[in-house]
Amino acid sequence: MSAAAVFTQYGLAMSSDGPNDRFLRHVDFMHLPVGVYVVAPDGYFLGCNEGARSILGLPAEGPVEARISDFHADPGRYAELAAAADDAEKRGRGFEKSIERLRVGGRDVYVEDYLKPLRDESGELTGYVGCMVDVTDEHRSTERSDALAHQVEELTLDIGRILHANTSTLLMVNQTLTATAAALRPEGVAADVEPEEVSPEQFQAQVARTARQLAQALERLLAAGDAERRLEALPAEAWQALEEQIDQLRDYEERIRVEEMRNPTLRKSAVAVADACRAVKPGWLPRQVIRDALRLAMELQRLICFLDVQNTRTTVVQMDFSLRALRDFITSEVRARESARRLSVDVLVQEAVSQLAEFAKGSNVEIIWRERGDRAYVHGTERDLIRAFANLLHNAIKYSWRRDRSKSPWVAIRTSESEEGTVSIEFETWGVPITEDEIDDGLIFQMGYRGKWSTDRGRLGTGIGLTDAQRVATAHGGSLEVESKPAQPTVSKPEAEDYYRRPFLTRVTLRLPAAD
Amino acid sequence: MKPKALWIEDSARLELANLCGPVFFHGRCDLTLAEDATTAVNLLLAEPYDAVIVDVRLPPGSDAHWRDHYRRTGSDKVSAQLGLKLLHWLLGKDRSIYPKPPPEWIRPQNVGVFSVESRHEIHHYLEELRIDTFQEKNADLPDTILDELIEKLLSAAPT
Repeated sequence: MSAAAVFTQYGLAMSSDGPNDRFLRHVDFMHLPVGVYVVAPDGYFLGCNEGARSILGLPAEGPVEARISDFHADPGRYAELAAAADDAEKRGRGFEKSIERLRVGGRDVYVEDYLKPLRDESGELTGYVGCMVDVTDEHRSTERSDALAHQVEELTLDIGRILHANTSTLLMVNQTLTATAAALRPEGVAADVEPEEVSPEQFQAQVARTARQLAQALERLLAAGDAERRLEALPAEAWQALEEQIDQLRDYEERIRVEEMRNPTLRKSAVAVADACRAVKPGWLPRQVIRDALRLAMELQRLICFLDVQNTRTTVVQMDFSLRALRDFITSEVRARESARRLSVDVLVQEAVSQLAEFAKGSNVEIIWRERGDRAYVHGTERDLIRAFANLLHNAIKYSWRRDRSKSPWVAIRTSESEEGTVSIEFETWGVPITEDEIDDGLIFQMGYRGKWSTDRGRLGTGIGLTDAQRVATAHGGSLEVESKPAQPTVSKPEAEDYYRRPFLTRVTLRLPAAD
Repeated sequence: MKPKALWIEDSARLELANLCGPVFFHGRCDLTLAEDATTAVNLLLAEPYDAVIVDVRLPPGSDAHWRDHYRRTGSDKVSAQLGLKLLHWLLGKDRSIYPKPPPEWIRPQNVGVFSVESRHEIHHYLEELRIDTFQEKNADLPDTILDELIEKLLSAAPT
């Protein structure tokens, strides 16, 4: 029996002679791309089309010796659906729709199911007609999306707590590093001089000097006593290893071409020398020669550890800012909205500067406020604007290079108000380039994007700062502009290998409508 | 002549610089760095290396092909995973990645992966590329880890 015939038999939508219904008389329900089935009042199958057979894993043809309830994951579910369909009919509604979980061949199948009672001419219930569409993929996808949304919601609400715990850890790390740096303070740095005030070049010169002195001390150690006494003091392979360190310590700059790898290598040498000196059997060699070598090895280690600790402190301070900015950004939607009000740009920028003061100090970067429109006011949310300014200032500090050997790197800030009523807050830095295509394609404003040259010299970051600043600018009716050009006139073109290895002058300007 | 090792890693000069100390200190090999995909390919095409250690998350460098790969994947080294693309090209699994043929001397035994991804995350790539030497980066590693990885590669691949 065809599905159309089944429908005719049960009088489904066939009472009218209207053109649509006449058309329906000729529809071949068997080949519809959805499952259509008819069951007796007890759910026993009277017929079903190809679509229903496919969904339910039934043979392509032949009688179906089963009840629809056999396929429901919950066997009692069919009775509820039938009752709901009866109830809907009483209320004058058509098909009752629901998403049902079926079990087919041992796996879950989700269907969108429509069920309607069928009655004969006397109104007696003769069965139900149903229509089902397999929505398993969509259902799973929705389940996944719901789970993800729930996870994001939880994360958003909890991120404050998680990051707070990390901030405390960073505070502990920073304090430990500060104490360690004080304990490691090298000879020659007076107690009242902040280590940040001594340039890295000066420290590095001291490292080179100490390495050379240690090489000389090793030469003296290798010549101390006679061969017999030396072999009593240390085994031959230990002397061999010490001899190899002499050239390593003396010529390390020629041997190791990458500057950043020299100190870790020197430290390894210093540790090896110190270990060897401690292993010398007493009484065979002059004590002073051993003490000199050990002292210089320890001094070299201390100097390099001090530099490492200083660099790590700067990184920790930077990480702390990144975490706070991240927390602020993520929780901005769930925090109680701060109302917008008239705010002094000068005060906002000052607050951002004070937030970044420690980081600037650790990075040995000076913040210079060149032009100060201290009467400029904007209308906005204080917290968001300070965060935006701090993000821009943080980037400027992070991407600064030293312009002049005699001076620290600096970041320039300019604030001004135009006659057209726009307040501009500009952060200028001299150092890491941003390429033309990164600006033109808007890549730098994409969430999580890190500039092509931004990891130069190991700079860390999250790629959120500019994105967040731009959102804040837009939310306040303003804009963010970025310009990055070679700092000095250059003959090379952007395609040249060294073009982006030169310093760039980068200006990031946040423009906001001035408040009355 | 000492064996030669290439470490392809964009954080090699700073955050991970301490890992190079033991390599130079022991002096068992000549270590060269490549901090982006472009530099890595130029070095790999210029001369053979006995050990090549690759990070998964790499910036593209200046070469237009690598920049295209990078841009197509959202200009983010995390999702671009140029290190894996580099390995697919290098070990001849996908010649469409880069226009020049990979060097003939390279073998999976020469190559190791040192990355923040866990083995679980990238094991199917490692299996496909037949790379046995893998180390996940974590805060708990000794400073000799790079030296050990290089040693492992040198002992696995006859020079």
